[in-house]
Amino acid sequence: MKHFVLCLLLGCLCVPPAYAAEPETAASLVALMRQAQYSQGFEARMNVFVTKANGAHPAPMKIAVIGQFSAARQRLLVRAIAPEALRETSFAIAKQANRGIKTVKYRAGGELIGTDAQARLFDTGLVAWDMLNPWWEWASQSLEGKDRVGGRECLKMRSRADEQDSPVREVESCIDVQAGLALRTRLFDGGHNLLRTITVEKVLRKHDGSGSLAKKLNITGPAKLRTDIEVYAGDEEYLVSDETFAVLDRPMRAE
Amino acid sequence: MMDQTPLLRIKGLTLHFDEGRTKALNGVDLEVRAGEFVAIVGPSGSGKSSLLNVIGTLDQPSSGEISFRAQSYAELKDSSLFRRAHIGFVFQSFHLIPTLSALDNVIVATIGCDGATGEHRARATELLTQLGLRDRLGHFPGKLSGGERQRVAIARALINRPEMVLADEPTGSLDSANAAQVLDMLTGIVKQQGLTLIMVTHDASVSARADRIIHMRDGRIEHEVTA
Amino acid sequence: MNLFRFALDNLYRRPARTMLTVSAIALGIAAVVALTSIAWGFEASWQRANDARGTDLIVTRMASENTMPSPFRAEQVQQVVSQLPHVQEVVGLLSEMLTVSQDAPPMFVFGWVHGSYLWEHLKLQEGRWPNKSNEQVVVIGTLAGEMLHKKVGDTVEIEGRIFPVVGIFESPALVENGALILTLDQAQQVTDKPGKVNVLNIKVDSDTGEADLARIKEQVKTSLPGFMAITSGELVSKNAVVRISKAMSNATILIAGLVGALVVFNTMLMSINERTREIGILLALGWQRATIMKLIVSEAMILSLVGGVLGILLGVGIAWGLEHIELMRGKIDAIFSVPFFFAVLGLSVVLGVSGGAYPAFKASRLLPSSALRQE
Repeated sequence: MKHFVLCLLLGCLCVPPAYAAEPETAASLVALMRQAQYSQGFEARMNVFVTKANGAHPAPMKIAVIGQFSAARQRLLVRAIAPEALRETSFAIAKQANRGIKTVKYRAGGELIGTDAQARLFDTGLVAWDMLNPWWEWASQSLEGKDRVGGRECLKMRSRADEQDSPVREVESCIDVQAGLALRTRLFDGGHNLLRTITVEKVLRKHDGSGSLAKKLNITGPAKLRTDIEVYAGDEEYLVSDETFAVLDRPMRAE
Repeated sequence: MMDQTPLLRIKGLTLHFDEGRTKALNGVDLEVRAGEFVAIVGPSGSGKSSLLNVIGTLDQPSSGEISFRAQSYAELKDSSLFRRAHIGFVFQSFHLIPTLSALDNVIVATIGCDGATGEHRARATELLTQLGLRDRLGHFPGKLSGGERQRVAIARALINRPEMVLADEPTGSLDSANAAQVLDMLTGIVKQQGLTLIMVTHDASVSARADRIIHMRDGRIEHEVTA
Repeated sequence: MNLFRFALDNLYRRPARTMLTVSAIALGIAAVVALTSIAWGFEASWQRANDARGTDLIVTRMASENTMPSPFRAEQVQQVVSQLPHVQEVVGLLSEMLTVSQDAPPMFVFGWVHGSYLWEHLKLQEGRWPNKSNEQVVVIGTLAGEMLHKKVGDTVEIEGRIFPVVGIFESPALVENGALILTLDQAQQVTDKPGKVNVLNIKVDSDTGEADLARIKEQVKTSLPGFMAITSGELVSKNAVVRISKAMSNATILIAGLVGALVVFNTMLMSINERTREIGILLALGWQRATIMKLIVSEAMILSLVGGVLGILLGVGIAWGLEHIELMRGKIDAIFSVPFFFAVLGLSVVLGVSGGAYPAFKASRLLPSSALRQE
């Protein structure tokens, strides 16, 4: 669900096939979800508001996310706009079929540092790994009936990791098939401990009417960290240039 | 000088309630002449008030004929207009409107009538003055004694210049001194204006003043006594 | 003493109930007045902004639920549109609603082509206009200056970039007075939309008639799939916020109307139930049934009209208050008119008549003898 939610949240322009008929199998639903996130390019700017476990609020953040998703490759660029201390700090994230997730942190003109895909971005609840929704490529997918999230009906899907050493071993998504959007995504570790929950609070129809985007969502976890995210501007047809993700091809040093 | 022509003619009048199970009036024949003072007496439930209500067009008879100046009630198109034009009511419990002053309680009966508001006001003032309430015009019913309230009710009954006044136990809620005073005033004005008065009463001293006393029992006229 | 006075007296008799009923109606009417005036004002303000710019037609891609039309690459569309007959000038515009200060609500940030006709209707109050299309400066509306506490020489941060304020302007449209304007180049850079605009503004020549405009619209539709050419009025009426605010105002009218009528209905029904014997007295005194109906409807109408007048005053107050609270400043410009107030009073009369009709009918059907027997 996360990649779905995030894809939507980020303003990803998805062109899913007709959702009118409910998919009958987990495989067909996974196929729909994977296709729904494909985009030649999208950009979304969002306000990020973090509430720490002790109730404290760090300065509100603004970030811009640029993405390009295809079957073969998924790439994201997450750039901090505000506050000033984080301005121009960016993460470039990429995943290619049959390869791991690569995450690079850098500042404009500064050196490139490789980081862990499971690390939180800017100390918020956002995690690079989640934003790419890798669980839709896992082999084990099962449908678990219907549920409701925020008053909307959704289909529950359980995805199990192929690799036993994956930090996230299981993902439970609840998908609004009509919207082509996971309304809630829960990520569990190997001991079935809940790591994070991503919940969509508000959706927005895409401008071509082909599905919905997450306009507002929250991420709870790890522990009692809560991250509220609201998209305030975006471009569903962002023009990705050769330069956009160029940093991913440059040498970097390990963190 | 009493007019010998019947003002009101009643023949075979019945009034049934509860689909005929209760017979409030059970074949009443009566004629009342213009200017006559008729007292209707009888035990409770004998049909006195029911007869008064039918005469006043507040209830419709189940059968029988009733006419006023030879006009049958059955042919009346609008009983409200008939009441307004010909009948004044005085009730035992006054039935004044508590939020209106004595003067307005009288004028309220003229709302919807022809004539200027000023004329109605002047006549109401005149009637209340005649009934000894000149200094009580602005008083609300709650500030008036029982006798005063009934005098306001009498003024209200007379404001539209009726030909017939129907009074249902008008002194029933008053002490004897007040009752005598109210009765004097009512009968005095009625006589002075040559009106017909039909009064339901339990009080022998009241009925003793009538030109004729109708005794009722079980919805019928048992007998009548002419003074 | 007449029917009206008597009706008033009857309402005075139960001051608490009368006050509650009037208050309920007033609140409903106030909501109608405030929301409707704001919805209309919002629409009118946008309309004024477009009219003041001298734009005859707008080419856009309308996103059904978005406040702003979706951005698109201007170049190709602009080329096609420029070649249409009667088209004199085609100018791109980029707009976004952005937070430019933590102390102020999100504000409109516009990007206008430097040197284009769009700037002509603005009146410079202080400072200067941007000198060239790539100059990283901003001019701000008078209201925006007030809200941000900025003057010429200060700086504002837009999406992480610092822009010196070089001018303060006044516009005939509130929406522009509360906005910040950059050159289109700068707006595209700061929002990471190189070459993109939300709308293209078209100015046509003076020979253009209605039929020509319709033809241009048709040509845009056929030659540019997914795009449409519309007048500023049409654009505004399709705007999501305008549509939502109008829908809210319509819903409020409906709900307030229903609730108001029910409140009047309930009050009058209670009133006649309490006054059954009194109505019997009036009938015995010769009041016609029509007069009884007039009395009850008059009482209902007095309630609703007084509620209506108070509601109008309250509604105007609410709209005025909303205009002046920090969160809303520069975004709403409530519009009131005498015909509107009469329409609201008309709504109040409808409430009174519809709420009072059944109780009046019921009262007029009372049998005088049984009404008199009522305790």
